[in-house]
Amino acid sequence: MKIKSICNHCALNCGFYLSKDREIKGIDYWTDHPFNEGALCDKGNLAYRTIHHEKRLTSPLIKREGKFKEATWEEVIEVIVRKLSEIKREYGANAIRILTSGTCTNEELYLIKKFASLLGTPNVFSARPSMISNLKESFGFKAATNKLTDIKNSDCIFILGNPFEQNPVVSKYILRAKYENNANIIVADARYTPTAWFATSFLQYKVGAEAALLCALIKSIIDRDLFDHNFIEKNTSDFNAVKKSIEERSVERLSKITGLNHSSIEGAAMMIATAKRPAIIYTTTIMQLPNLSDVVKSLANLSLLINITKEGAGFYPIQGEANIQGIHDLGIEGRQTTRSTKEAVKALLIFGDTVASIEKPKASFVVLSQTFLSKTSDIADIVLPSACFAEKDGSITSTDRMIQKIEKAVDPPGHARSEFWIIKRIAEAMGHDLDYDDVKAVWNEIRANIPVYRDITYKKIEEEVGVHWPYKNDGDQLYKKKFKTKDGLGRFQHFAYQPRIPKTDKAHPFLAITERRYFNREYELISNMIENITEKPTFYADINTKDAENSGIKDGDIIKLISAKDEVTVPAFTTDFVPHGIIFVPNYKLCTVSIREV
Amino acid sequence: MELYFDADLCINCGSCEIACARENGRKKIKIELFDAQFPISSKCVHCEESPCIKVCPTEAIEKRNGVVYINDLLCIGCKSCVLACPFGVIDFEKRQHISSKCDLCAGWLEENKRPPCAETCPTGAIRYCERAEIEEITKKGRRKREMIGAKIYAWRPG
Repeated sequence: MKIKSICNHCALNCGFYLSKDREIKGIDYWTDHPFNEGALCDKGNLAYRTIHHEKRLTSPLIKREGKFKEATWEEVIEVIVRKLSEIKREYGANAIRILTSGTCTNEELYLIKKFASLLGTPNVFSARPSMISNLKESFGFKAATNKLTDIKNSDCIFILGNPFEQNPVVSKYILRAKYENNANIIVADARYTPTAWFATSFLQYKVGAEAALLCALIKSIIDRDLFDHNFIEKNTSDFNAVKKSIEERSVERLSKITGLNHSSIEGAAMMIATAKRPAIIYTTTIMQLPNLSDVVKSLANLSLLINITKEGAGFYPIQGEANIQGIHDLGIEGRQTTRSTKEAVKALLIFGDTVASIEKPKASFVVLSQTFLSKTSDIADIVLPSACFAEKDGSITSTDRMIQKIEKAVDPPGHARSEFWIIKRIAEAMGHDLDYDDVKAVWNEIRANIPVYRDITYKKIEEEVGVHWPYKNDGDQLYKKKFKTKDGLGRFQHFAYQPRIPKTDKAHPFLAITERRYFNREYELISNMIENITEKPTFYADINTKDAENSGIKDGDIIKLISAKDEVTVPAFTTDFVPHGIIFVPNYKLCTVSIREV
Repeated sequence: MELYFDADLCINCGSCEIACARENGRKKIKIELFDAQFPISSKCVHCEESPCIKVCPTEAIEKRNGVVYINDLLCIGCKSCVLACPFGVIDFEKRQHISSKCDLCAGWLEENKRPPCAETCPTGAIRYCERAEIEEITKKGRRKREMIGAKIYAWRPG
C-alpha cells in the first residue's frame, strides 16, 4: 500500500510515498509532486527509517533521583497539572514559558497557542530564533513572495548562504534558471561551497561582514542610480532616511570591511539592479550570526530597492525546520532570550523535537515532548513520547507557503501519542476544555482566526496537492499591486552593518563557523546512517591548508575543538576553500576555538 | 531508455548513493570529486571483453544482455576483479566483503520502474531517458565543465 507523506527534515516539505505492509517497508518517489517532482535529498531518502527505529520513545519518562523512570500517562499528567497550577498560583501565569518547534502540525501549534491563552501566559515562542520576523515591517507578511518553483524564471539570482548543501532539492530550480534561462548566479558566502561552484560571480566576504556586503551593494546601486525612482517614490517609505544614514559610507570603505575588491561588489550590484526578474535567496547560514536581524533587514532593503514586485521577481527565505512557516503564520514569534526572561521562567514546556540548544532555567520545571531521547532531554523533568510525521494527521506549511496534508500511516509505537492528544489531555486535566474531535475542527477554527488561511478549506488541502496561501491568487507573487503593510508601502529599515562576531585571542585563536544541514532532532540517527553508506563524515572540521600546516595537522587527522564552553572531537580536512583563521564545522555554532591533535 | 550522467548539474549531494544503497543493499554508484569541486561519476562501461569476468575464480561475474553482473552469492571477496578492472570502477565493500559495482539496476528496469538514483536526483544530473532528450540539451551548448572531459555520457552496456 502506498501512503502519501511529507518529509519533515527541512522547510521545503518534499513529498514521497511510504510503502506499507504491516510496517513501513520503504519509500516510493512521488514523481508528480508540484514542488520536488519526486526528487529527494539524502535526508529525505532515509526519513522513513526513523519511524520504526528501535530507539523511539514508547512511554512517558519521569526524572526520579536524577534518572529517567518509565511512568504512565495518568501519573505524568497528574504531576504536570500539579506543578503548573502551583507555579501559576505562586509566580503568576507569566512564569510559564512554552516553546514549539517545526515538527508540530499547524493544528497542534494552534492548540498550543490556545492552551497558553487558557493558562494566561503570553510566552509562546518558537524554539529557535526567527530569520523572517523582520520582514513584517518591510513587506507586511513574514513569508517568501513566490512559490519556490518560480525561481526557474529568474534571470539573476542572489544567494546568501549554501542551499545546495542545506536544502539540496531547491537546487533543481536554481540550476534550471542558470541553464535554461541563462541566469546570472551571484553567491555570497564566507567559504567556497558547492553552491559557489555554479556562481557567475562569487563574493567571498570575511565572516560577519554580511550586512556590510549588502550595504555596499545597496550603496553602489544608489550611487549609480540604477533603481526605479518612480517605484521607490510611490510604493515605499523611509527610503531617504536610510539613504541618508549610509550617505557618507563609500563603497570602497565598505568593501574593505568585507575583504572584497570593490569592483566585484559593483559588478554584482549592476547584475542585480539591471535584472528583469531578480531573485533573492537566503538560507539558515545567517542564523548563527549575532546580528541576524540586521542582515535580514538589509536583505529586505536590497529587495525593495531592486523592486521585487516586478513580474517574476522574488524574495525567498529558505528556512530550516519543517513547519517553521506555520509557526510564523499562526503568530508565534522566534525565541529571544534576555536575562529577565531567564530568571522569571519557572516552568518550561517544549513541544516538538527541536535542534535548538536550550539551557535549563534555574529552579524550574521542564517538560519535553520528543520522539527520541536527545541531549536536550537532560534538562527535562518529564519527557513525553510523541508521534512522528507518519503517525499523525494534520497540515504543515512549507517555506514558500505551500500547505500540505500529512497523513497517519501507522500508529505511534507503544504509549507514544501526538502532541494534539497530549495538549488536549493536559488541558482537560487542568479544567480547560479543548473540545475538538479531530484536526478538521481545529483547522476550521484556524481559518476563522488567521486571515491568510481563510480561503483554504480542509477539503482543498485534502484534494489538491500544494495549495499556497493566500488561496485567491494561488500563491502567486504576494505583493503584486502594493505591499501589505498598514499604509501599503514597503518600508526601508535602518540597519547596522558593523560586524559583530566573537573576537579571537591567544587562548582561542580560531573562529569556528557553521551552517545547519539537519534541522530535525532525529538528525543524529539520520547522519549516522548517511555516514555508514557514503563513508564520509557528516560532522567534520574544514581547516585552511596553511593554518593546518602551522598547527601541525594533516588531512584526515582527528582533532579536538576546544571552545570556552565545550569540547568536540572531529576529523579535520585541509582545504583552501576556507579562509585563513576560520574553521568550518557543520551543525556546530559560531564561537572562538583552539585546536589540539588527538 | 538509457541512464545518463550530467556532470554540469551534479551538486555532490550524495542522494543517489543513499537511494542506491537503500534499494540495492549496498552503494553501487560512486560520485567522486575531481580537484575538490568537479563531480565525476566513475562507473562500469560493461566492456566487450571484460577482464573482470576472465579473472574471477568463482565465475561470480557474468554478462547478460550486455550488462556485467556480480553475483553476490558466488563472490568470495578475493578482489581480483578490483585489480583487473582497467577503469577502476569496481569497489570493494568492506563490511559485506564482496565486490560491488553498478549493474544498471537490471532487476528494477525489468519491472518497468526507474532506477532510484535517477528518481531521487534533485537536479536531474542522473537521468533515465531517451537519447533524443539528451541530444536536445547538448544542442543548447552550455557545458561549462566540458574542459575536464565531463560530457554527458550514457551509462549503458557496450
